[in-house]
Amino acid sequence: MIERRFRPTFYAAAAVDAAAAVYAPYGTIEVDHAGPAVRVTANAGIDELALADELANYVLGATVEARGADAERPA
Amino acid sequence: MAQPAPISASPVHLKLPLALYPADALLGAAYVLLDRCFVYLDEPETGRATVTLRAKPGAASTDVAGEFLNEALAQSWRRAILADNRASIEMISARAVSGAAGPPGLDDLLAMETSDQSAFDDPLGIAMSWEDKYKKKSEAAGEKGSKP
Repeated sequence: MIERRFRPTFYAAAAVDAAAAVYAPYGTIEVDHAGPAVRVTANAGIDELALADELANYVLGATVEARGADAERPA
Repeated sequence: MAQPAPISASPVHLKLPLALYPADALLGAAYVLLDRCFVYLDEPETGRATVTLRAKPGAASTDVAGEFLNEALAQSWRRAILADNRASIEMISARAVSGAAGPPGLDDLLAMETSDQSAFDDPLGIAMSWEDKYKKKSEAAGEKGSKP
């Protein structure tokens, strides 16, 4: 089991919920809003670290897109 | 969505002060690198962020760490410039928008007050004819000149 803390300084709570729903087919995703923490336990045959990292990237992307931040530097 | 692939790269941990690198700048820099690495942001103690970067296959964690720092610095600097020049930017934008509105339309002209009282108001005296404006002065000058 891997635990990640998605602090409100950086991450949106709605993005955490969305990521948990997206990655639920690959393992058990427990969202503790009080933490705020997410505990990831991968299904058999799935790399747990990869699942936690993919979930963290999803949360970050969803947070930035929800904020509408000008994150993408113009080319 | 593809099944998460195993990760072999070792992570790089960065400790950054939030006073120099605001949370928005770190998020922006992380977003730029999402296609090349896994990013996890945390604030274990107030005012100090830790950034964990793990490269995806085909990239090196140290390379993406360097890129992350450069991008975070650029984003922080851009935000500082924006904050310093916010008043000027808003003024220029407001002028551009008002200029783009063009001449008044029919509705604007119909809404204008054109009653008898306001139609001939001339508080600055610009509707006065040349003769009316200079007549008294010339007459006064003529009267002065005629006096013994």
